[in-house]
This record gives sequence, structure tokens and C-alpha cells, in this order.
Amino acid sequence: MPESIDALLERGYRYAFSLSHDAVDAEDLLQDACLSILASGGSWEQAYVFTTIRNRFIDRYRRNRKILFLSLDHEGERSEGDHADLNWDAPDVLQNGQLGRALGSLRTEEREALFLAVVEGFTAEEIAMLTARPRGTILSLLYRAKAKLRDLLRKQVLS
Amino acid sequence: MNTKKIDDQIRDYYASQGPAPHSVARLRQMIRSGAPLPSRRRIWIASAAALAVALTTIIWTAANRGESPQQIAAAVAHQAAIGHNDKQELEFHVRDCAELQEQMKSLDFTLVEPAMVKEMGMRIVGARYATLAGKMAAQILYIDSHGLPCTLYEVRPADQLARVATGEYQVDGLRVSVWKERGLVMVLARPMA
Repeated sequence: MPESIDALLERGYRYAFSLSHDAVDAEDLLQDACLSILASGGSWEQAYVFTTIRNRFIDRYRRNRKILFLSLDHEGERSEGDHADLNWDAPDVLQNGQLGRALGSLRTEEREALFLAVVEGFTAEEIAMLTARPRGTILSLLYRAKAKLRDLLRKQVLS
Repeated sequence: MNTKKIDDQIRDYYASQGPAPHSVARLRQMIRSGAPLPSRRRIWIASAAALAVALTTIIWTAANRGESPQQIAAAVAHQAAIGHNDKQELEFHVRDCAELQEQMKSLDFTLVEPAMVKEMGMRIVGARYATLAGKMAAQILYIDSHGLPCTLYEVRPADQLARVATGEYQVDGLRVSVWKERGLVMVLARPMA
């Protein structure tokens, strides 16, 4: 196990939370993923753990017949620089719960891409590999997630 | 009003989220020991499954004593159709039959992939433990070339099942095939074309 197991579990939990946006679901997903890795004798590398969490999430929501991960492949692709100016100075919205609510309003794939890029520091290429989407689609997703987040927060602050 | 870069706020937000310490400790222990901890729920499920197999065996044997091979086949076809339509939750999600063989360790036989499945271009999705004719079986979900779900049961040909006849049945809008292959009884329920 190359990374401290506690650190890996915490990162895994946060990734699961970025998918489900629910603390209980995130813990369940993490546990499911750990059981699955143990059963299959898989690796405790971060990439494998994240992939397993993602697969468990998709399985679970497919089973519950919820729709998620809408296709974005028809959307226009963007270049790397398009979202560079979207790290704007925002009023401190963390403390009053506005950021959590705004993130919860994003689509799953938007929140996931944002988490992987901003928190985990993944490149668009790495996110594309994990999520099996074209790199251009990931860039588009990141751009739109940031733009949507900015609009949501602006509305919340104004109200 | 204080301002902060949105990326920093997103990082702070996720940093403030974390699993409960006791959950981390439990998972750490499970990972280091290399085996899932036997929770009370798991023990209860295992006991209930064993009891269900025993009861089903007794009831099925009593109900089908002296039946012809065709009647046995019709009975398992009916049971398979019910199982298919129930759409119960899968316990294993796999990419191929070899992976499923690895995971379903509690079966008293080795899973095989029937030739029909390959010929029809079906793709495995996952499986669960089940009973068929009172015997422990693997209930395997496939998706056919039209994207439709099909359910395959594999079971050891013990007791009454040793005499099961090959046949094809139409039950509840499904086509159910019963046959023997590589030492196992196979029952495949699929939508009618």
C-alpha cells in the first residue's frame, strides 16, 4: 500500500462524497468499494480505489433507476485555457453553507470533474481516463461547472 | 465582505468533509486483515440463506416426487421465469465469467459459460446466489445483443435435477430453455423475440 491507508480512505470518501453529495451514501460507497477490492484481490492504489468507487456508484444508481451521467459527448469541446479565468474571487460562501448547496445543485458529472480538478489536482487528461470521456468533453464540463457555480452563488448572495 | 478564490473555497469545503473516525478504523482493520469483518447482518444473511435452501429442498422434493423429466424441466423453467421477472439485486458485478468464478466461492460447483451464451453474443453483467429446485444455484444476468436482460441459472444436477429433460418453454412472456452442459443444469430465461 503506497499511500497511508487512512489518507487513502479519506480521499476515497471525499471522492465518493463528490459523486453522491451525501455523507451516508459516501460512507456506504467507500465500504462497498473496499469490499469489492478485497473480494477481487485488487490494488490499493488511489487510481484503482477511485475507479472502484465510481463503478459502485454507477451500479448503485443504475439499480435504483436514477438517471445520472447524462451524455455530454455532443457538446462542443473547449480548450485548456477556457476555464482558466474561472477561479474568481468570491465572497466567502463556505461558512454559511451556500457553497455546499451550490455544489449540490450541480449535476453529478459536473461536481465530480470539479472535485477531481480542483481538489485532487487531476489534469483533464487524467479525469478523461478515469471517467472514460474525451478530454475535450472534460474541459467543457469543467468550464460549465464553474460557470454554473458562479451563477448559483451570485443568485444566493443576492437573495 | 471577505473574498476568497473559489478554488480555495472548494478545497476547504471538501477538506471539511470526512468519514467518521470509527468507520475509517473499521475499514482499516478490514483491509489489513485482508477479509471483510463478519458483521451480525452478514451472519444473519448466511444463516437465513442456508435455512432457505434447506426448506426449499424439502418442499421442492416433496412436491415433485415421482415427476417425469419433462415435468421437472417445466417446474424449473417456471421458477427461472419468476426469478428473471423478480429482478432481484445482484451481489456481484463482473466483466467476464472468469471473474465471476473467482467471486462466487460458496457454490458447490464451478461455473461455466455455456456455448449458447457465446453464440448469442450475450454480455455478462453480474450474478447472485439463488436456489433452483431446492439446490443452491448461480443466477447470472446477461445482456443480449439487443440490449435486453436475460437470466441464466446454473445448478448441479443433484437429486430430481439429475433426471431433468432438455426443453424449451414459454412462461410469463419469456422463452425459457432447459438443458445440461458440462455437467451442470442450465436454465436460460430470455425475452421472446
